[in-house]
Amino acid sequence: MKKRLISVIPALAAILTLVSCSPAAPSSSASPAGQPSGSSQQPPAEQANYQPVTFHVMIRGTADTFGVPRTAEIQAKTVKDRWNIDLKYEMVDKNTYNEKVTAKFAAADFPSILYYGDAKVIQNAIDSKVFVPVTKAVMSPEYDNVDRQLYFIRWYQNGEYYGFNYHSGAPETINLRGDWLKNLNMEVPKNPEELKEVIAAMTNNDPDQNGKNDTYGLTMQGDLGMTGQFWSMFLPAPRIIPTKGAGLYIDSKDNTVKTILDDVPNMEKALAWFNSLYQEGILDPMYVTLKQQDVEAKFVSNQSGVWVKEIGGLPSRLAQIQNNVPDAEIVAMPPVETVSGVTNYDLVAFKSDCYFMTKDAPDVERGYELLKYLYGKEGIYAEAYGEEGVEYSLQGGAFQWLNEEARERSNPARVISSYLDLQLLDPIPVVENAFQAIQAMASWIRILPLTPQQQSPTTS
Amino acid sequence: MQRKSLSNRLFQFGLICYMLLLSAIMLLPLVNVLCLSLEPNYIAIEPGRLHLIPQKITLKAYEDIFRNGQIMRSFGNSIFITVAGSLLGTLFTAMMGYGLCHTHIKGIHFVSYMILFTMMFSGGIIPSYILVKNLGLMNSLWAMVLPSMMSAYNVILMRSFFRSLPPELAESALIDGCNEMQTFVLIILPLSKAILATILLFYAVGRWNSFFDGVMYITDQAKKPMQVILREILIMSDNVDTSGDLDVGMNVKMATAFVTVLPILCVYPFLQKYFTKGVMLGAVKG
Repeated sequence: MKKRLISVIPALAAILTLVSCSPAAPSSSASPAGQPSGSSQQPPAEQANYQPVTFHVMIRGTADTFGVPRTAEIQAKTVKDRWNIDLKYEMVDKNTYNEKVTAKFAAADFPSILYYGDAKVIQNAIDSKVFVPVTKAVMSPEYDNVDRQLYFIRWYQNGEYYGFNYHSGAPETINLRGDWLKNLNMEVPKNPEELKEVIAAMTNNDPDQNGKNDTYGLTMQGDLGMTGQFWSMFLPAPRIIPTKGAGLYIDSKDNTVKTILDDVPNMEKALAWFNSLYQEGILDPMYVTLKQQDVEAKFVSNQSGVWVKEIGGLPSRLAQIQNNVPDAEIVAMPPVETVSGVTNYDLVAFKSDCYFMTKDAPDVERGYELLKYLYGKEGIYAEAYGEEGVEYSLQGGAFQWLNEEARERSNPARVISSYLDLQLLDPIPVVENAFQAIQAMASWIRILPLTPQQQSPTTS
Repeated sequence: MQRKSLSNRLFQFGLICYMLLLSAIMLLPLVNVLCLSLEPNYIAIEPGRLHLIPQKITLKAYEDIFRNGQIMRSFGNSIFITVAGSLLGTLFTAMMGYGLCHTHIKGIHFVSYMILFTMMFSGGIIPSYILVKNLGLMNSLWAMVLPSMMSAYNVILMRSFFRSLPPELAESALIDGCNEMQTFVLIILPLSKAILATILLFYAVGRWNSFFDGVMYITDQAKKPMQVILREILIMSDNVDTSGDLDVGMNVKMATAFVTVLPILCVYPFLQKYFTKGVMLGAVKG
């Protein structure tokens, strides 16, 4: 027994060492799975002029787990072929992302490209020259039709762009069950009064026609998140989160920045509207206990008829509803003009979150090309649909999926939210309808207050 | 057989009710998770009711998990981290605990205080990160094993146990010609199975559940442990939206959670006795 014990310990240590030293399973986030290594593959002509470099791209997200590793494969293969870049993604979940970035910065362990949003840290990184300008990528002709003043100005300093922002965020709209509206013989509401009538009918008139009084017109989060679109119908600023303040706007009368919290008359109107919903029993009284996922679950499980969601998130929710109600529809409410002349919907322009290239990028020039590819038309389509000829075909201009799994894994939201003028290859009716409903926004997009007062270079 | 008094029987009845209630409180979340994992997603997401009995049973969520290479890889990573971390941790903890028993060694008290110090103050995230980076352990599974190989609490527990053993055992071994290492391996360790099992289990549970080190030190998706992957799956809340996150469904999330706790769930009942036994051994005569 004693001898056995003595012999077992070194044996276990040896096994552990062997196991840990054995090559890891191929990473879906690194070089493409199933692809021959660079040395055994004949390098394409474009790649021949470049020395191999590795770009570490740190991203907040989890898409690689169950998502579309094919995207990483396609992107990695393309950038290897064109610029001899070995693309290594590091995906960190959103709850620990900031901690990891802080630790990396403290250890001077910078990735080549970093997605980040903490304005203070970003400013420090720019000041200390950890982040290098990406002006060449931003000034790419592909973005000539993009309003750089609107989308890239957030990190424009000293004549250089530092942040590369590639999506505007499709607006979050007030969405309604279109099939319920049909059952109730009602039109899509256009103002708060009509919306209230719809909410009342969806609560009281059995909109799903199941003979039960089991629906509410409206439910919402207890912390009032995702309710800004309702408040903004009465107040002068969009993107309001009443419990978290914000809601800044420029008062054109005296040209000063004010907060909606000081706008007592309009705030009273907004509160009176919500209060009337509650008093009349058409607002789900359970809302005070609900979280974001509960509100969504009530909407997709036919318990409520109105829900706020970004346009890109609608198709998948509609598919879930259609599991139970095959003829279900979702329609977006058109924007309502606020008292200050803007809309109650808003785009997520000017947010701090951008891609930044750090001083540790192995080749800045190739870094520009990488950014332009990943977040340009090609990269976005690759991410949304996969590779032409493998996941889909465009023979004769007609789009067709080549396999069902690719269709299930497609992520058209990237196309929807891009500020590039991209068309959906595989049209999605609910999205098309939502965009039609908010067409009026096009003339209402306005620059958020507190914009840095630097001048953007003119488009070349 | 002595007849129990009424008050005694009432007390027993109350105790049983209390324990049943306690068990229900512990079990309900587990049953809830199991039920959600067995339901189709469109039923699993229904709010406003407690899912304890599946309305409809499907094993699709489990199929998805076991078909997913990433999850199976992470399962293997977690097993490696747990096995390596527990065995090495127990071995070195035992060695350190035994060494600290030798109070005649000069400076041993200072070493003990140094160990105690780490129970109250840790280096923090950034120094730990720099240490792991400079050791060249970034993106290696060993980063989840070596830096936190020993716990000060377990060292003290082990030391207390070793102190409870009669010193004459070691002395007689030395007289018989054993050196210190042989005494430790051939005499002391075989007498310490209970505490070794306890410490091993402490480490195994800790390693299996460890998450933060995986987030901080592992960059390659293929090397992430199960807990990191589980967390990533659980926070996938926004179905395909502009953030690009993909929803895997409530049933798959719950199935992953269940698969993650299953190994510990299976092992724990059989090793539970060592917990109480080992801790008592270490504590009473400490």
